[in-house]
Amino acid sequence: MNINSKIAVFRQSIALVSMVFLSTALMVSECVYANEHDGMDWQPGASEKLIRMPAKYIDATIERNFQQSSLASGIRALDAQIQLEVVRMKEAHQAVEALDGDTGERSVDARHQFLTAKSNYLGLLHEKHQLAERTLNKKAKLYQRVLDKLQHEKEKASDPVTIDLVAKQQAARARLNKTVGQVDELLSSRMSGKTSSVDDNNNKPSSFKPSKYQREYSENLAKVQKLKQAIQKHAANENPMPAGMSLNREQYVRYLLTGVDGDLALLDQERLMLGYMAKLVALDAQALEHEITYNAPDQEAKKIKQQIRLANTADLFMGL
Amino acid sequence: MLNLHKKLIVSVVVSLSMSAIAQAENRTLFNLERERSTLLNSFTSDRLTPAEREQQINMSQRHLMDMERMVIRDDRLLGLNDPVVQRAFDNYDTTFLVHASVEANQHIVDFWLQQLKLDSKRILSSKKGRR
Repeated sequence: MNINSKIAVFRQSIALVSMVFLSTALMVSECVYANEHDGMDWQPGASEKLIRMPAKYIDATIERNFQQSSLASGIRALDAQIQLEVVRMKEAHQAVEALDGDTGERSVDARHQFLTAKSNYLGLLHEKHQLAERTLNKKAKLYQRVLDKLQHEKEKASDPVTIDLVAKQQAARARLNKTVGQVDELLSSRMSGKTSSVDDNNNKPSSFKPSKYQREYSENLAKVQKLKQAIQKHAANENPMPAGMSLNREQYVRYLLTGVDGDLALLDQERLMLGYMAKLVALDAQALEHEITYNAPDQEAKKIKQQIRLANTADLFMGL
Repeated sequence: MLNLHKKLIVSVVVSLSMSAIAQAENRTLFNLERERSTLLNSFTSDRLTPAEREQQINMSQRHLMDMERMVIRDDRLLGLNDPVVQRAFDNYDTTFLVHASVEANQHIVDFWLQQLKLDSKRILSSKKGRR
């Protein structure tokens, strides 16, 4: 590869790196819009199942659902590419260090390889950032929807009509429970009297038999209470304690939402770092190009320059 | 085509199960209403002899007693903002007729008539006519 073609390649690298830098600095929303049509997507829904499940399993379920999406596959594929690019970049860096002090073509080649690897790495990282941002935005929207539904249910429960109804139902329950014994006694005596008169005709002894519901309800009631207690004590039903404090469902979703906001803020900061790194690569590429163009003229040009020097041609004018 | 068919079946099953859930929520209350209307029919039927009426009322009371308890213990009805549920709990005395009549120490027919504000004087002063 001669110097001119190298210069062309460097110009391309500069263009590429500048593009990365510019696209990083530009509004990301445009990129997100473009990426929505690349086939990598995740469509999470705030289903009833998600709302009702134990709080501590909400984020694990969402994460599992995300890992099954094409968006997660895209991020995993990019991670693998970035890993390869990091290895390539380290190798190129070692080659540059090994040729430190050398000003020949091999050194320029090594520096060119290193710059290309850095540029590729930044390009891939930029792409991964876009996907990560899309994921975090979707998670934030999902948590917000879950939170809205939880709040809606809470509002529904604290609605004056519902509160009034529940109060009436509880009063009715207490009132009816007071008369259960009386009703049993009265109806059993009436039924026994009636049945015995019918049975007297058939000459059969009889007695009042409680209904199946009456018999089994009290048997089941104790078991229902035990089951309720077991559910309340079950480890899966315990409130999550992410920061040493027990959080209820709504508080936990709010905590998850704050976590996503934090991740988005960190991503913004990383984007800034990426922009600075891209700018450094662009400056390196410009410096290399300048060095090749102005500090290392090719041997052919040097030869011609030597040939046409006056001192070298002066002898030709003497002696004839 | 097969997929479309499957989707259609799934959507039908989902909509049916949704309506079944809505009905299941206040099923106990509907059962109570049905049994109560049977009891009221026994009160007003002119085809029954007094003994048969008494026997039927006793039978219905047994059923109603269980059903009233089923309704009052049904946690699915707690806070269920449905007009049927609202109406049922607005009028404890007429919804839980058996328990309320025992509480008032009255015969169920007398208690029901009292709830409707019907007494001998009003019945005797009533006129037959087209509504």
